Amino acid sequence: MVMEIKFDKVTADYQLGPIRSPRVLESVDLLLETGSFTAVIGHTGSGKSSLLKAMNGLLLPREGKITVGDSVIESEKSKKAFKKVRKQVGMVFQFPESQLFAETIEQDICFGPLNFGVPLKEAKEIALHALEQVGLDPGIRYKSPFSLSGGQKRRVAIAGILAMRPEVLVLDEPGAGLDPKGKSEIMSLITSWHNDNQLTTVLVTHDMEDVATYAEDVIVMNKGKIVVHDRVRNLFANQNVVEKWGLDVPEARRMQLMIERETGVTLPSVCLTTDELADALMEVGLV
Amino acid sequence: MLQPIIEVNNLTFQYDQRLEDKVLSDVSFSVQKGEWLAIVGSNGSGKSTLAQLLVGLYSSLLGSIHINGIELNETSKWEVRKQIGIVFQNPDNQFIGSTVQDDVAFGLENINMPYEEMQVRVEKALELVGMTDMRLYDPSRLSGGQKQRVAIAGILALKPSVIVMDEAFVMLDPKSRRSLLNTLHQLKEKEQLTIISITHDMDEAATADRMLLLEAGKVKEIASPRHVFQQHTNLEPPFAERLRRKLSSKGASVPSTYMTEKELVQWLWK
Repeated sequence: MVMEIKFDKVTADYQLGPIRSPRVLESVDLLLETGSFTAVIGHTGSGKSSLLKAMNGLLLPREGKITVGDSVIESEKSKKAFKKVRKQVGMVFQFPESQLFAETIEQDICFGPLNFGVPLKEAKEIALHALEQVGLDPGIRYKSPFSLSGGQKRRVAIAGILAMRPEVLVLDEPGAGLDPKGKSEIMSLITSWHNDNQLTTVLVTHDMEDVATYAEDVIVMNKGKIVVHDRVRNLFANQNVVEKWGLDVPEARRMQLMIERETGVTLPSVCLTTDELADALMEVGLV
Repeated sequence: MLQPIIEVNNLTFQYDQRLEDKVLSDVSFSVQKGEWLAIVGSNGSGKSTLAQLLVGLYSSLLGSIHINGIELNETSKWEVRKQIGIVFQNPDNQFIGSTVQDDVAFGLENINMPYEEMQVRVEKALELVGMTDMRLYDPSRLSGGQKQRVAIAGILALKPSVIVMDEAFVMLDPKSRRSLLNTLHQLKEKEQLTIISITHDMDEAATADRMLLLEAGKVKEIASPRHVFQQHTNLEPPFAERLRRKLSSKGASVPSTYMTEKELVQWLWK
């Protein structure tokens, strides 16, 4: 299934009654290929979350159009047309646990599939499967989601999205607020889902380690515009671009630059992980 | 020895008294004025509960909390809250005002501050967090990181002696996070501000004066970051130490004890 995401000169803002906010997306052109894993980075308020919302019709373009698979999102389209897009694009918001609402975990996870017309019996099976996928014991499905810890709640919320069997997975800082272990578990879960189901995945994050570890491509946003769209390694290799947009680099790369500056030794490759840096240091004989 | 600004003795707490499990059991520690204490531990270890107990949002089952010499209880909590402020993890849980500046002023209105002084305080607080340009925005329409900055400004405006931050930086981009941390470090030096920061960011924790490691509701350790990272290898350490361990596991001859970034770079250089 081809699930390309394409933006054509998309401009958008939030309108609330007579108040118009400044443009949150400005003339954005973008092509995300089927099966790609793209990280979106940029300063707070640069339009990252808005870009995600535009992908499933939560934020409508004022100008331009967005194509997701074979659905088109345009400002004059009726809201009904978005139903298909919303089924295809699973969106995990910031702090997704705050959207849990049902009496039991099972009901919460079934909510999405039921809304999209899946029969109850089948929805329950899907829920059971989704719980297993996020690494929770299916035995807890009759408990209240509010009795769980923060990390577990987040898993339930993500299970609710996976249960809709999306073909595009859009995530807004899924690891925020989790301890390092919980975070890496959630991220590995998302990665294996991405790989197993050939999803098109978009991840908003502030954590350059996530970008280096999980994503293949990276988008840099600045003031509502996409200013860089490149392979992850290319971006971090190019110190001029990194500095121009005031970006951070992964810890390993930062340390590499510091070591190169202090010792005057240039390492043979761009290091994005601890492993790569350790190998490079040993290769040049610094340790 | 000076009297500590925070003194916690044998604190025990549970949400549901029918259950056996205690969220916190027998927690004792003290914090000196002007100290930065980082509280770390995995999700569910009781960090946020401890933070909320410190500002009197819950009352403990057993044990006591003294802030600046005053014992925290139902009657004293209003007095105590003039000295201690909390910033929550998810700022959406605490917005009141219809504009950023109204929201920052809310706490000041509550303590009946004269208008003139309020203006000065709000302005200063917004400047400290870099939100002056957005003072007239609706807080609910800001981005996650901007909201967190507004929430922090709301506390800074009150000029408490102690600030408790419950992962108040998670939605900030790394640059804003560093600049805000710098601002707080300066305030700590200049005005003897005491900071208790609950965090999963070990690089941030490594810059604290001391770290408190909570495990299943108990104080596992309270010591310097160097000591904590050295003793508790299951805790994910700051990057330099991770690199040192990685090098060591690959058979390189590196020193066998904890190293800060500076120490590691210096060692490499020699």
